Amino acid sequence: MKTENEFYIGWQPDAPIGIARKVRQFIIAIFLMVPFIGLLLVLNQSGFSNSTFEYGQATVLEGILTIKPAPFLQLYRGKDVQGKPIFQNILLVAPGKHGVGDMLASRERQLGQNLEGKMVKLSGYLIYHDGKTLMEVEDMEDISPENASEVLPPMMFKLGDGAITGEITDPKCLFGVMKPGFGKPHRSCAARCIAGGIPPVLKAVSSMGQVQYYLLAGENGEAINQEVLPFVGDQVVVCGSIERIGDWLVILKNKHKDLALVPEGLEVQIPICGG
Amino acid sequence: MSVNYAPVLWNRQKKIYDRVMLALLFLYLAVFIGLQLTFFPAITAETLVIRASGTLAFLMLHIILCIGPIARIDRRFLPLLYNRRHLGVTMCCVALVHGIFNLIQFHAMGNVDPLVSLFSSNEHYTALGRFPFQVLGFFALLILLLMASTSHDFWLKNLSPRVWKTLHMMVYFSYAMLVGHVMLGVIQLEKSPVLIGVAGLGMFSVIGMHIWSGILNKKQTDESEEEDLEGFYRVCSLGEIADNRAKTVMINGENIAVFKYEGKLSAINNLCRHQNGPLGEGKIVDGCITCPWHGYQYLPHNGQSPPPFTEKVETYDVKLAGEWVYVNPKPYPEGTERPPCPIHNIVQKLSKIAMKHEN
Amino acid sequence: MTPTLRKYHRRIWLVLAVLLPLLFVAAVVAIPDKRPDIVFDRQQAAALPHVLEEFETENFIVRIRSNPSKVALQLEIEIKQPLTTASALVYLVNNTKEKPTDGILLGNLGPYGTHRFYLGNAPHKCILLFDAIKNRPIQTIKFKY
Repeated sequence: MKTENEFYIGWQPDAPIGIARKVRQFIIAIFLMVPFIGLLLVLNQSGFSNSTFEYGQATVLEGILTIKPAPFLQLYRGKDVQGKPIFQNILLVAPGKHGVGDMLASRERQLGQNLEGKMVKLSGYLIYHDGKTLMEVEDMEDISPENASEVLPPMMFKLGDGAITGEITDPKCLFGVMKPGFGKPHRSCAARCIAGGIPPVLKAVSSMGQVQYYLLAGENGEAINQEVLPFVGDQVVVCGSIERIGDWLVILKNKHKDLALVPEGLEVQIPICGG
Repeated sequence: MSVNYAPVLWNRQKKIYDRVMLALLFLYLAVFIGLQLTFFPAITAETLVIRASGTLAFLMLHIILCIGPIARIDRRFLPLLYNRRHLGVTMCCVALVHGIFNLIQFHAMGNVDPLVSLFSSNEHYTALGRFPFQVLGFFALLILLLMASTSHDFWLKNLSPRVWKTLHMMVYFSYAMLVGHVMLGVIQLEKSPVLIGVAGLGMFSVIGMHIWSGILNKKQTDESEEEDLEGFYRVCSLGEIADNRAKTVMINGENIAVFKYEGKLSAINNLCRHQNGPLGEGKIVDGCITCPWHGYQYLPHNGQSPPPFTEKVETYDVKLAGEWVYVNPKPYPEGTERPPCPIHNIVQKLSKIAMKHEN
Repeated sequence: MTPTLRKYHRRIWLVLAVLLPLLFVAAVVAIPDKRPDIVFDRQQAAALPHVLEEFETENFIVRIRSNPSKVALQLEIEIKQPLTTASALVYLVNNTKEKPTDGILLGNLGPYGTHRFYLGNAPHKCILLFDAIKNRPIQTIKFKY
């Protein structure tokens, strides 16, 4: 056959006819296959959250600064039907993968006073999603205590003891800065953020898709960032006291109960913390 | 054939190849990005770049890896092999974009150096589901960068074709790590059976192509052990060699190609001095043995490239005993002229009759 | 393909043809799937038994619940899609034009799921969802009851 005698030499201007035809057929097939693969890959993703990070768009908020169990700016909203003060708690983070701890400590040293419980004005970029709001505070060089608030936020109060199952991640990425801000691909980033001082959050999701978020802290409200690092991105069980501070839930982890990976195939949460 | 070391020795075929490659690249990116922005407008720019570049690089690597076996299965696909290195370097650039974006996105602006973070933020090397897949991607990218940076003929010549080819076969190791990177990384979150199916189809295509071409080409080079008293080894009957083509044989570790042309027989070393391509699978064009991979040429009677080119291969003595072709595997130094063995008319006629019968 | 190259390719691909599918299958098996169900109600007030009214909007299902004697009233808001606002306060107001300062604050809306608020017996007619950080209304829902 004629085509069997054809021989391709790349430095010649044209390929033999039979060879050129064959290669053309292949290229057409590739040009059809490649966009189709792109279509399949895109349409079968699980999607992205509608979270927001207002980077570059500063907002100024005034509220009461709380440092334990996590750095919050507590905004007074009014009293409810039963006369209870309602606060919205804005979780504070620093630029990059850092918490505000160092920034705050440095400012307190400058001022020579503790800022815990003081009314302050903070400027930063808001991060929000799913009913939770954070603020990335660029710096605290200018903050100083304002006039004392007439209404003080209620103390953190206990709802009960229990075991909560969920994924440990960092709230900054989870609530707006990254998409996705959870799961295996994000694991390293979450570990970096938590290692940098951002308070860890446990995201608990039910089989119906309902979500609850819990800040994690130690029994006395102290940071447990180093302790949770090996479990970031995993499904874990955390045992401790479940408390409420403003509109956030907190688990004060029982120091005698280590974090544990959720056993494979566990379908219903069971009270495995005991005591 | 490089007489001087220009970055790229352009010709028409290479230009067509690269234009088609770039068109495919932009088509994929346009479709991928367009669909993402249409169906998932909430995606961030960083995630879009990471997913677009990662999927594109992985897809390109699959195509690159299939080119070799496809060209073995059907020689008409050899044009895909000709400029494959441009495809490889481009794929490496796309993969580099993916790698850099990931490093910045997930590891920069933290409390440790990003490269330290890459290795220290997840140290669960003993658990498959928790395995630090980014480390696999890092080492795979390093191999691809090494290959891309040594893809030029300069390195081919200075490292020697054998070392160069060994280095470039590390692409298979890189591929294996990338399968791990994808399956232990993004697939652990994006669990759609369709995505798993696409990844699996890609992997099985590459494996399947290689196995299929291996089976089809199982016995391309014979080994000869039949020695006569003069140190010559029997290779084949004259009828087994088509005009202007060759028969390849391994004798005592020597890889020899015996060409039949213009009523003569000559034997040279089978390994092209460019990339160790199989000269025996080439053809004699305008009096020169032409390598099927990149068109390097050698004169059959002395193993030298025609001027101004300087490549040379070893030559061997050939003789004809009846209808049987014999070769002496003791090589002459590269470029040594050896008289071709004439094929007598009667033998030529007999061999043509034998070939006709076989067809 | 030269014999040497063919030999190396054969060895490499025989190994990869076994290892890669094994790795693939192992990775698929390692994908975490089922999540344990969790109980939220301990952090929420229990739902009152009777539903007096129910509205559905694009983002919310709103119910007014009561006890059997209809003395205790409860507002239940089921969030259908995660909130996209920086703040979401729930107010009782008299009409759709009233501002939050004229109304009664019920509380904050939180994550995707169901939230309940004690209504008391104040004769208010509308619910206002308000973003107090951006100072703009999110949605106003008018009751019939």
